[in-house]
Amino acid sequence: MNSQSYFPNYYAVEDIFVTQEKVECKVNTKLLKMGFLDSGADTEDLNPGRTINLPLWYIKELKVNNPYFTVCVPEIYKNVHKAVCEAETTHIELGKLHPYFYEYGRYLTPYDRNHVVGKIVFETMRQRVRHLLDISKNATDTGKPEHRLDDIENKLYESGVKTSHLYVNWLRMKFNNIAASEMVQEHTKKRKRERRSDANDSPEQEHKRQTL
Amino acid sequence: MSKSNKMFADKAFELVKELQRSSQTIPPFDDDGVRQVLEEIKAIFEENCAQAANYSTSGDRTLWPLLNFRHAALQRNKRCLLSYLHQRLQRIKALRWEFGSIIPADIKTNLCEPEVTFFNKYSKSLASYMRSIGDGQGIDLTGDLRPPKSLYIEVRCVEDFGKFELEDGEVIYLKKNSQHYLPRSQVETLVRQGILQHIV
Repeated sequence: MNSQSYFPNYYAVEDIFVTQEKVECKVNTKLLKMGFLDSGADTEDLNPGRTINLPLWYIKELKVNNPYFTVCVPEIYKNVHKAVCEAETTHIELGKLHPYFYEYGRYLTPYDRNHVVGKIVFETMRQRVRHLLDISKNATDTGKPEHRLDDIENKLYESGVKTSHLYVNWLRMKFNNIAASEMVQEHTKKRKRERRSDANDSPEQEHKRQTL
Repeated sequence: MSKSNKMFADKAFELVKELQRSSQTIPPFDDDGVRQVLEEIKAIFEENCAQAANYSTSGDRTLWPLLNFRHAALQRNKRCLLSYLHQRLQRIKALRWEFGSIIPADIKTNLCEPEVTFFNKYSKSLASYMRSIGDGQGIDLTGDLRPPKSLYIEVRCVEDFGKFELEDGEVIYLKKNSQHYLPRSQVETLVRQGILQHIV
């Protein structure tokens, strides 16, 4: 599959995933007929003082200092702040905190009045990227540290592993073989599985090899 | 407006999410989902139109935030829908490069009508482009993705393929598990399609 370099365009799936996230907001003014946004209230209007979760795709359409809502910066960025100060970000399980930690933070930066989110996002990446390089160079079969990486890190990790694999193959001059393309491999695997469940025979059965 | 826990544009997001999550080469086209999203867009649009008309007569600004929200939802729906179609087209394009000009039947059933047309047209333009380059001889861009080091390669047949005619007119019979020593340039496509296996 052709992978594009990560830059959120209109069709970017990652960006759509990030903007689907909910943000906690405080309502500032009475908003007529918008009570449906608040699952806890049964009035038709949205009353000031309530806290509701709104999707990012709506929030980002509004001005930062709009009169309707105040965005509350999520706890996760506050906790990381502590870790950044203690300089131990490589041990944070970022993927567990938020699967799109950096992108989400990037969207929230303008709403943060203390101006820490931007710094946190930058610092965290700066400290972790080196570690990322190390683990992708020394990838083992024991599996990838999935839950510890955020989406962007995961992609970096995967392309790191792939590159180092290609490099090793090149050094060993093993790169000349033609292999079945990825999609074809997937497809045949699927077909084999189906056939196996259908007839319960083993397609791997070794026949005597014939040579013409 | 109905008061439900379901948020606007959730259905459209589902479409994108399902496509991303599916492990199939290309999942079936979600006719029903797309229709639902289109209906939601239409409903939102109509409500907004009515409200806008109301505003221009009364000049009542109190409902602006609602109008704004619904407009954002509309845009969101559109974006998700377009992204869904776009992602599928990307995969369909990849099909052309990986499977060649004929899509396996079981994948083809998952495409919708316009997508099949797209594939055929894409395939055609790619073919005519490849014919147009290379000093009038044409170059097969899907071949020789890695620089060849030998003219002949040893291959093993993974499945029964049947007769295969080489460029010099010789016909060989590709039977499962048979091994052959063949010109690389002529069998590369078959290897890429998983019919032959390159042995070193």
